[in-house]
Amino acid sequence: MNVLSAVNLQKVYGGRDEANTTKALNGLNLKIESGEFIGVMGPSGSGKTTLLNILSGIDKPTSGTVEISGKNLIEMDNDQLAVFRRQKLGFVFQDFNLIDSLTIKENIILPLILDKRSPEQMEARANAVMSLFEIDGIADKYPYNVSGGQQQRTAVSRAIINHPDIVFADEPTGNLDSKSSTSVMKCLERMNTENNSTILMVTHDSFAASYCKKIIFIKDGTINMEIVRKGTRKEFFDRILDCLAVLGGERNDI
Amino acid sequence: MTFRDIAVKNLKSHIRKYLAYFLCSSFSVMVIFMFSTLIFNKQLTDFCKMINVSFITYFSLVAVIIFAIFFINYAHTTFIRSRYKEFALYMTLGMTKKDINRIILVENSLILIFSMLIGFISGVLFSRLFQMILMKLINLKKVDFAFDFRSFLITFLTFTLIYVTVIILSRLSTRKLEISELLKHSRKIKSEKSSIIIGITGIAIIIVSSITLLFIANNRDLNNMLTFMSYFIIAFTGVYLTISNFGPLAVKIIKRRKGLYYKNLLSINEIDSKFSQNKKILLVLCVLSSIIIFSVASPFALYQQSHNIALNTSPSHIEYASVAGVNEINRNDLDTILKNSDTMFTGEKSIEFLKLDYKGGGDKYDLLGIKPVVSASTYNSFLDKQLVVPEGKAVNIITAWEPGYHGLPSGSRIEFVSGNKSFTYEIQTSSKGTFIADGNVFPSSSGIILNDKDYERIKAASASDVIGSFKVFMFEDWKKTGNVIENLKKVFTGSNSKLSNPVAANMFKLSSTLDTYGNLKKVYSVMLFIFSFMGLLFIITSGSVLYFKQYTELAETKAKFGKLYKIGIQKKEIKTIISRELLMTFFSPLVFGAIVGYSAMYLMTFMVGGSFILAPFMEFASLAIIAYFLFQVVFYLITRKKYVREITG
Repeated sequence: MNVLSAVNLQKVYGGRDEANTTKALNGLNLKIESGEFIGVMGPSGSGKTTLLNILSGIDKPTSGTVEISGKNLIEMDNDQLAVFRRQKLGFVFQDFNLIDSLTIKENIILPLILDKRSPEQMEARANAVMSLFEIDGIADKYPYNVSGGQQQRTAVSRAIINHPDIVFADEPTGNLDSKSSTSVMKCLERMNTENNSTILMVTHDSFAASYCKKIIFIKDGTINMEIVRKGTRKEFFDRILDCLAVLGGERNDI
Repeated sequence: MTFRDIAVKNLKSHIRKYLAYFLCSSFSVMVIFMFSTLIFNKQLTDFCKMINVSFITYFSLVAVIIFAIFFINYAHTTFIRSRYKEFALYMTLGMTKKDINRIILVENSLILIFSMLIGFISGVLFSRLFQMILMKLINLKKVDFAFDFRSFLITFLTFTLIYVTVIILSRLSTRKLEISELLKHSRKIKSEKSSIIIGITGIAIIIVSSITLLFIANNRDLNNMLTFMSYFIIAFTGVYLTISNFGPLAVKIIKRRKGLYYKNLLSINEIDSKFSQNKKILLVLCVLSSIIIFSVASPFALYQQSHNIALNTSPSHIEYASVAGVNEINRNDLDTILKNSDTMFTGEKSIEFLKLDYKGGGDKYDLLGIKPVVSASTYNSFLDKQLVVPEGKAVNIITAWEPGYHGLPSGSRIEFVSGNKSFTYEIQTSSKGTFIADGNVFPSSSGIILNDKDYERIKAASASDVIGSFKVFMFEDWKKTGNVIENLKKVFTGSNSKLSNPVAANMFKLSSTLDTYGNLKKVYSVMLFIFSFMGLLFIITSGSVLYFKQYTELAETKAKFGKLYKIGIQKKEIKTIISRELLMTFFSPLVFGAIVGYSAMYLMTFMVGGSFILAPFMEFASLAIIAYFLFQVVFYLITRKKYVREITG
């Protein structure tokens, strides 16, 4: 089943003057099936984050369409998009994006609170997801009192608490050390395999990318290459590095 | 790059933060300066002394200084806190704490110097305007505009002292902080020290102190300036405890109902964190609101009531005491004067009294050591009362306006001396009330009522120059009695000057409703001016405090809602959350201020008059509260609109 489809996306930054404009996206097409775990990679400035922001409805494209679960995001206004985001989408950000004045548990149930669900449902889901990611011990602590890895796992929990159609992750390991990165990537992998969540992850990190099932490489605003995981993660990791080399990025470009 | 370059660069890059802090400081200097010029303005202080309201100027200066302490402390703390991250970065790069302290010191000294400069300049300008209006109001022709150097000095000293305290305080708080703490500090929002029990205690203190006040208002022993001040201090301690623990208390109560709690989690959280962050500033706002309400409402009420208060203090339109040759006028002259009145003369009475020397307590009103004494039946028939005074007892009726017993409390003894005999009575009751004539007519703080038999006994033993009479004249319209008063005064001044002791004779004044009314109006208009000026100043101040608070919080709030926006919050939901928080910040000080202001007004009515002005006083207090409330609503709506636009834009 098709969860997301983007057709001919263009995003142009800059003024009216042709010479001063920058094309961040240049006629990009993308389809994501239910249950996929896709990594988006590419050198700096290739348009990865722009793509993610447009696909998730945080930013609007200059032209082209984005459909998620049959709904056209382009036609929605900001408030409709807000409701759509909290009901159908999940987010994991590089800087965690947690609210400092709320406890870990309250942060996790935020999308449900915004969506005015019943307290029983919030409690049940929060407890389930917190034990899944082993953060139930810190439920009543505040974000500034827990480690980066725990914060990111909190963010991951928040991303899936509303059973979203698709989860967008923007450099989720960007601010983490390798141990925390591993634990967060394992969380995402489990989400994908056990809950059958659809995930789109933008990353620089080849190691993090190796947890995906499929990687698309973008360069100059379009999809340049696409590889699908076969065999072990180690083999996939090596292939990713090769592709990056071909793409012109450096092998240690993380 | 030298250390000084860094400090200068700092200043440039944070110009907006500095500007806000700088304006707060300048504003405080200006306000302190303006009020201190009042204290050292000789004409004004003389006037205030003359009408016994010297405390007004001191009271307002103290209020202003207290305000400045809190305001500057708040501005300084916010300013320093907003830069913790920057300090942490410097320290990571190898700057020592000593260097950081030096930066703080240099910056603050610069701000101190420049805000003094700006504050003094604007203070001088506004003071001129302020004094001009004030002098015009109290009809002082020759106005002396010289600025006393003492007002500069007092402002300078006060302000420097506040600054030094504030810097020491902030040094103490940064001394404890480590780099990691400094980095975390900007994120740490909850204060861990709040307690629910203390919160409840705070509410209890407010309620108990306000109720106690209602009970003691009518008690002459307790109703005085000290009670008034202690009430303010106690009530605001309660307010502070309530505010600082309000968040956790509300959260605790609401958390019992999970559904309600989760539904309003974001609003509750916003209010909770804002309250614990801003408890000091909320206290300042509470104090300001109560002063605004009290200071605007009470002089308005007094001014508007001066007609009634005049009639209450001087119910007889014209009255004077005539005894031992003092205030003597022959019948023909009197009739001529009365006939030439602008208003119809409706009746006169002559009430006999004894001017007796006494031994016993007294104060500045009792310089001559004499009291007017009347018999119970005279008193009862004149005032239509049923007072019973047993033999050997005396009733003391206080005519001086200040609270207290003026040396003759109930149960004390008073000894009259007449001729070579002495008569001693026990004071049965001593209370403020209406005697035959008001306090100006007879130079004494009170009048004495005796049993008819006792009265006759003394009268029989007394020489004829002890027996006198109060003359009372009533007219159709007391406001038109001006020429009668003038003519009588002329006659009395002439005749009294021929007596052996004209100074003492002149202490037996002619009193009239019209004069009382005129004096009251004069006093109240000055009060009205000073107090409403203070009120206006405090309204502006409370507005700028609120504005300053919102302004400093903007970046943080914007970041928070930016995060929520990505997760999926709608604009109208942001608006709801912001509205609720603003509603609490704007109106909770008003509620607390109204409670305290209302109670203070209640106490004040008993201090200046009595129950007869209670209703109009409370009416004015309510009006002031409503007006202030409406003003705040407008201010709230404007701020909300701007603030929401800033956050969501």
